Amino acid sequence: MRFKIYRYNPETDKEPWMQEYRLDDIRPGMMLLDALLAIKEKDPTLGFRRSCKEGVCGSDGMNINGTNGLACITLLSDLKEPVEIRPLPRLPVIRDLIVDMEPFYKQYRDVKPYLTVKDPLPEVELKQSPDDRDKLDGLYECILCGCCTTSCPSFWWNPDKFLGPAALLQAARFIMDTRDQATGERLDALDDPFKLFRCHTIMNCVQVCPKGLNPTRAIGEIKKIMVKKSL
Amino acid sequence: MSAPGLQGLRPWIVQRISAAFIAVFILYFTICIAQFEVFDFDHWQQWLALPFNNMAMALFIVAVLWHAWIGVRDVILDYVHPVVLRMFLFTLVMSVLVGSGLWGLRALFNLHVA
Amino acid sequence: MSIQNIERRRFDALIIGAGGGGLRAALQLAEAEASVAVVSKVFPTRSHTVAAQGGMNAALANVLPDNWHWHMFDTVKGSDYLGDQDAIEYMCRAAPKVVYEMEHFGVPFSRLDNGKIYQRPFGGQSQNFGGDQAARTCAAADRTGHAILHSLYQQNIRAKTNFFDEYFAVDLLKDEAGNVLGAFVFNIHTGEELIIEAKTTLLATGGAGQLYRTTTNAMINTGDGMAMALRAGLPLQDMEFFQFHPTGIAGRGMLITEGARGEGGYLVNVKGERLMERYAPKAKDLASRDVVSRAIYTEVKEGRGCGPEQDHVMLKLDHLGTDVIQKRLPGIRQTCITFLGIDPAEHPIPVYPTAHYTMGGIPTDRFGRVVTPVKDTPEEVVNGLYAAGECACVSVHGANRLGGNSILDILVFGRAAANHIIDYLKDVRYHKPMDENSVDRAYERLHRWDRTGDGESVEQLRKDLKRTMEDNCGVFRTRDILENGVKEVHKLQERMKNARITDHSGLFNTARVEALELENLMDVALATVYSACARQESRGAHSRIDFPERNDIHWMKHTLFFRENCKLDFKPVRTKPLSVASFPPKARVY
Repeated sequence: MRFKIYRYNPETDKEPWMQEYRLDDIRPGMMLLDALLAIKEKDPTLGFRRSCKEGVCGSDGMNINGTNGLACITLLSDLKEPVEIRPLPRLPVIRDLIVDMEPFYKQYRDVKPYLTVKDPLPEVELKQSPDDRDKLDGLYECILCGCCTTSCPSFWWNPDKFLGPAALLQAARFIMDTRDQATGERLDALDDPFKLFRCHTIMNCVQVCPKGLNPTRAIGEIKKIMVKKSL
Repeated sequence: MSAPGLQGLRPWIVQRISAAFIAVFILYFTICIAQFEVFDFDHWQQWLALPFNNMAMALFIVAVLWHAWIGVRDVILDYVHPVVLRMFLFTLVMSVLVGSGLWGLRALFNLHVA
Repeated sequence: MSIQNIERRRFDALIIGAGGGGLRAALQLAEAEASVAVVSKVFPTRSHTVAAQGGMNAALANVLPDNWHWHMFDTVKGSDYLGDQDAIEYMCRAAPKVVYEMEHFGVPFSRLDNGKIYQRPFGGQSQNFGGDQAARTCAAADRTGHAILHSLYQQNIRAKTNFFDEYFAVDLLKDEAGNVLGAFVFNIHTGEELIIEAKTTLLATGGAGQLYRTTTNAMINTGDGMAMALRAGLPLQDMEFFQFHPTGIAGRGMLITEGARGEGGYLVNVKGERLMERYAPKAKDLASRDVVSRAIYTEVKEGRGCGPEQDHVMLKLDHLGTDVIQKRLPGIRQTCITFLGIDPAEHPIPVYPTAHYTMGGIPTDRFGRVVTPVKDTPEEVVNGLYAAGECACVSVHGANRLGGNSILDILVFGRAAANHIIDYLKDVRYHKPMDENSVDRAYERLHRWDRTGDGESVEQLRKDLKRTMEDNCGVFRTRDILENGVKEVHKLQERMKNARITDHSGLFNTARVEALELENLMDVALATVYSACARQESRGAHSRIDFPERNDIHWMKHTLFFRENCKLDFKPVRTKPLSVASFPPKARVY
């Protein structure tokens, strides 16, 4: 199987370049990460992040044949040759497939992604009905891999002002949580021409999310709640 | 940094309400003109002379221009990043839209007076 | 960079590792307004806590009657009486409070109709000291670790903890008296070294599942903190006890939570028999993990395995119905679809015991303080050094950990260590001067990898190590196999001296990180095989074919391994709890 992989080490390379690799020993059921690890055995200078190998840690987000995804849960058999692998778009490249995720993490921090309870806390759990808990399904499972945000044109255009689908999904996660008591502040903070309203429902985020989440719908839900609150 | 005076939720709501009004108006207008065998300038004047139609058309002009403003504003926000250029384009678009609006309304009310 | 120009920063507390243990401690410290630095070689939410599925144990009694004392009994019995009963009492008593705190931090626990936290049955749980099955494991579907790790990171964002993300800790720094005073680390992005001076240092670096070829563990689980402790002259405790999880996906290693059996799933062999009925007539599939793993291993060995190679058994869930599976086990359903192309709602899952958890680790007391034998005292406190979580050995898991007790362990002892650090900081107001030799040694360890020229490849050595450990230190052990293991690991360590990397870039040099990780694994491997070779009995996860019985007269004691000359020492089990009567060793049947 043939691979074309984006290489760039600012210490030695003037410009990014594409390196070709060949792997002969392809087993059925092999994931792209397995292939990258096999390539790295031959060429230890190839840089990429990885950890859990099963799609829960969110380390190995990359652009695979033009679509963002996690290498560890992308089957080689689903990919067209040569497999072209690039770093996640629109984030500064540190080296090879490794990008600087800090702008993405900053967006996350900007939505104050933590439960805020203002009342005195009981000595036991805060009660929540199963139906209310179900509202968090599809929101809390995000693994912060960055696939969605870096595939979003609105993020490409306004990376410093639009919060991006991942952070907005987190905003929704806390707005929808019946235990959270900062809903008003959260909604007010998003009422701005950029943070949320640059979303034009292009839905790239939905298409690429490796966990099958739907940030566009979450953003829609936030808008609905904002409208309800303002009327 | 957000541009001064620009908001998030309100324009978004206005964009949707104006879109709804535009759609309803176009439907109403199409039905009306379909009832004329010929639709020339005289019929057009007569039709617009009715106070209800006149008001609806005035609202339509405002809705189209407001809707356009929000749409173009969004495009500028997406694509134009230098602040000075952005301000210039906002001013330009705003002037054109307000100008067209005033001109359209003047035509509409002059006709009514006549 | 020359050693004199290395930047130095000072904090009250340094935490190495940003999994659940490290983050829980960091939060406690940040809220007490101590200055905290958290050093992690990955972004915090990538830490392996994220992969925990089933849940955490606490006697909340939300579903079935329960109390902490029954939880304590189960844990002591599960540990095969090697757990320290003072620490176990402390953990089981603290459990409900710690769960409620986590709920207040935002963890989206699954819920019962009355709005309380959902609890599911897990292996080794009983009511009334060995009676009916209990339901003690608090769960957020089958993503409890993810929910907990993310909530803790989020609360740390609120508390403004200082994070050093993607920094690699090379070694601990000390003074001549042996006080630990911080760590030598480097920034993986830039390659720049940094000396972090801290009044207290907490190791929370997790386990060493990468010792084995097939493992449920992430690639980052390389025993870094354990190896740092060894190099600092401290022992590792009970390293012979390595847990093999009964249900890893056969041949691949992805974890299928014990919660799958808690929700009603069961194991079948090639004849379709419920195999656990033979090995644990009462608890069946919810017997302790060591028991279930040995049962599967035995079935396969005796020719009742499934598949063309007859090398695994099947975990049946399809009778639970799609709704239960989607609601309670959505994550493992997705994992099966992705990696096996099968939906567990329709087909059974091929499973086999898979390396999962390091019961042993850095010896600590129940305040998280690292302790080491000094002359005649078996447990002398190492000033300034704490450890919590999988890298530590308190020991609450003894010879075998119960499912649902690991997340509990990291949170209870992460928090306890932080509380003790807060007290310690009241007495220790200033940073002590450090022994510059310890800086030199750490610097040298890092820069050893700058050598160029031909040598062994790190990749090959890593493969050989994993193979050696799998072949020589697996579920069933004998003297011959283990002695061979010791010999082989020694050989690998010799070869390691001649290893080279070809990448010498300063920028995000993953080859260098992997080389340092392999060094750590080598030291931990040696501790594991030496300790396993020494223990001549079968207890918990350590099953010796040549010594099939537990021997309480000679072996109810903790093993301690020191790196210097591979010396072994032993210390007694703390059988006296804090307030209740001791649970004396009994035959362990499920």
